[in-house]
Amino acid sequence: MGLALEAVCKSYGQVEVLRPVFLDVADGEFLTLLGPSGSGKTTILRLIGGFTQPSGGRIRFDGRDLTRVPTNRRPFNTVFQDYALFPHMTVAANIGYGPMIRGRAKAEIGRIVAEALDTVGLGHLPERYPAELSGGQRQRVALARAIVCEPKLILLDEPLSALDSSLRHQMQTFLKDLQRRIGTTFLFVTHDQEEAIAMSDRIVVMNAGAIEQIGTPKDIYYAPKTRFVAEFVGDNNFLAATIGADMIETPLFSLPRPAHVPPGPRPAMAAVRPELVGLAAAAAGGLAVDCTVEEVAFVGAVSRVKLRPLGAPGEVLVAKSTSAHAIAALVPGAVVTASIRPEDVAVVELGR
Amino acid sequence: MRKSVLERLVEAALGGLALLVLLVLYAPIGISALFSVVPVDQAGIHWDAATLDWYARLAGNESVVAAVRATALVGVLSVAVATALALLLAFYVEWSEALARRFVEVVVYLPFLMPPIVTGLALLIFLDQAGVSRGLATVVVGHTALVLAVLYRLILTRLRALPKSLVEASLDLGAGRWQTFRHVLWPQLRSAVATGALLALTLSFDETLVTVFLAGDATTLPLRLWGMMRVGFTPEINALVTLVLGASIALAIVVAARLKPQPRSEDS
Amino acid sequence: MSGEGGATLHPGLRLAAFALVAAAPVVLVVVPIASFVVMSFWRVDGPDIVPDASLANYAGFFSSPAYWRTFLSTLLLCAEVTAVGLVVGYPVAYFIWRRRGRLRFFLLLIFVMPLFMSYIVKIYTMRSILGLNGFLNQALVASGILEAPSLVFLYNRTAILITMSVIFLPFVILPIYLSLERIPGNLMHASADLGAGAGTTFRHVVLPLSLPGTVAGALFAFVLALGDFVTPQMVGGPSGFTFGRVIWSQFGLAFNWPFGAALGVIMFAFALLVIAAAGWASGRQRV
Repeated sequence: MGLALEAVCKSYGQVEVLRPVFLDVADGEFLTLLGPSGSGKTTILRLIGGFTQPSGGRIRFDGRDLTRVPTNRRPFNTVFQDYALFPHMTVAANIGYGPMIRGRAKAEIGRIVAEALDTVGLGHLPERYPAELSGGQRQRVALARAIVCEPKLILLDEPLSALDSSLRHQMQTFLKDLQRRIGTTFLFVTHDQEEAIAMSDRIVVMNAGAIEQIGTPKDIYYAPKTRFVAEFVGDNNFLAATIGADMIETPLFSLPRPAHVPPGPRPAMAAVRPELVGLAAAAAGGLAVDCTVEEVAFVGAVSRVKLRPLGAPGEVLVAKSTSAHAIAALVPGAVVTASIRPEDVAVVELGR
Repeated sequence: MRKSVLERLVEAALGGLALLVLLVLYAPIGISALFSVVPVDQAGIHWDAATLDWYARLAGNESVVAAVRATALVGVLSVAVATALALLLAFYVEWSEALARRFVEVVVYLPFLMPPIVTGLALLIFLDQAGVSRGLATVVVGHTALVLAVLYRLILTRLRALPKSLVEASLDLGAGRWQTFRHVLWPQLRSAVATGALLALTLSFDETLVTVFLAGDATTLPLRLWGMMRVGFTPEINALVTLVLGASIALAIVVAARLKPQPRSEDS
Repeated sequence: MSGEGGATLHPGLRLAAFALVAAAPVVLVVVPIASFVVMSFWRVDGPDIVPDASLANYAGFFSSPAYWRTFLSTLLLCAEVTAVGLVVGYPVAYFIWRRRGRLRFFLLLIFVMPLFMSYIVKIYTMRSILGLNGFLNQALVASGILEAPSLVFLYNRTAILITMSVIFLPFVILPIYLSLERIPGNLMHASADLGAGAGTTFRHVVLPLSLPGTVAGALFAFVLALGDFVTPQMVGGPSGFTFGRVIWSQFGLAFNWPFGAALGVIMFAFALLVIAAAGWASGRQRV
């Protein structure tokens, strides 16, 4: 049955930090709450963990109403952003804390702790103290401590934000693998959209205390439902669009209205990912836009090409390309034809 | 940053001042120590007659020994009570749902901020009106009121420095409030409590102004010293004084060592 | 302990918790202060203290020049002690602060150590130093500055001033040092980076930022000096009568507790005023 949030909201005095949300978390999934700071994602996590009480709504798990149940009796465990390792206890004692509280026998605790340490790859470190560990190691101890009690749900509060970027990528892979192996539901909070896309089964995009969209990483990336999602996740080209009865008009091109978009007339937005703006030979059936190259920025693996459409000098198109040949030919001032497939144009509705 | 000539001069002048001040601050102590061993009278200082006799005589002096015992008893009792109270108050003030936290804090700090004479006479009047006769018990009450502020401040500072997430983590892992205190908070607070207790003990040993109001017929070491000094000075007093100073310095060094900033961070 | 790990408590429980916890401080502090304020309105009748409700004691204080002159001269004395403390203490604290590493810690320790030394002992030894046969006189005579030992150092107001200054100096040095220490090192670097010399940096950066600690130190010295009645008695002689001694005698030989309580209330009110003023002054710092 899993976790269900029903109209859960939170206010501090006059300030509403979370508007009523509805969320169902499936068993065994890796769900990420993604959003900028202040979006309410951490608030949801803390409400589920029981560290804060909701101002309204219910939190259910397996049918049971958990709203009034205190933290220490909820079947969830948390990996905190600052890891919250007990500084006066060894790694083994930290991990063994949960079992110790539950009254397990010493020998059993030793066994469980050793297993958990192996699972996170720290088998050689049980007698160290947190202050002696690196950031990445502490992170894994915090993880082991959360796993060891075999919770029904693990809450992770931006656990990778303190790590440097190469370590971060490693940990992302590690966490994803771990979750698949142990099969526990992971509820992950982050503001890093690349991270969210890399790791999640589903993403909940949040902004200003409300949910903008819930979907798989591909849904969120290629079919953003609101302007915020389209802007927050990845780079995008935005064009003002008008949805007509049969066609959608933008300053640069027109395309047939996709079936899933209700007929107009109404204003909307068209969004095209830069990597989907083709600069090589025009593909058949593609929307062609003649442009002047304004700027080429080398950013390592890709190059960003800023294009000025000839027919609409007020607009800008950004293309991203890895093609060395194509880029070599592009110099500021050159005229190229950008080509966009109609199915790569996302139609984003305006307003909430 | 390299220093200019003028800067160096100024710093040398300041250093000179500091040295002078140091001499003035320690002169009383040095002299006491000196005259506890070397006899001095109208004729002058008799360096050759240096002796430790007076220290030996102190041990036999009943009233002094009794005063020391009383002082120790008062110190230990008032620090014990004040520690328990300070812990209670510190947790209360940090509890977000507590009522009137500001009020409690102000009341705790008040005896420490007020001229001791005011604290002394307030307690005297209150205890007298309540029908409690003056003695060591009332001295303990007075010392507790004074020392509470010091312990409270040290414990509160340490408590506030602990990341909130530690308590949340403990609860998250299934511990109840008492277990959280026992396994997570107390080990972290132990050191602040010990330092505070030592500091409080030092303050209690030396406390005169409030004690004078509350002691009645009983006597503590500072009061005994005061009595002895009103009469005049003898080498025995110097001996006692030097011993007291020696003990204070020892305690001060221990407290200082504990309060010294650690190079290693304790937080995870 | 933590924020809201469980359900929000019933208001009745919160009140009960407050009553339980606040009981001790209230009994130790609030009730005694209340009772001594109350007694200040009573009076004596022979050997008895009679509950009453009159302002006679306060009237007595304000109408009698002897009392309020003593009060004012005591305030002046305390201000002098504070001034000496600041003038001497600030440079010393600054000097300690400018040292590096272990030397700094060691210096701080030896300047603060006197705080741990017996108060009575310090007064006593000051008395023996300042006396006719004391060290100071002997040193002055031996070095030729004086021809004969002088009586001027003891049993007068000057003696009280000197003794209190020596005793309360560490109380001033410590808070000043602590507030200097709190100044982030990179502010000093920034000031130098922008072209300021040491003197300018001191005037515009160090001095303003160390003001809260300086005020605290001054306050400490002032309030402690105000209530001190042992020092005046030991080194003040007949002319060294401070307000503290006056109050003390009401509880001793003079046996007029209500009057003593009234005088105590006046001192208490004044001390509160000074603390409030200092708190307001340092609150205006945007530190």
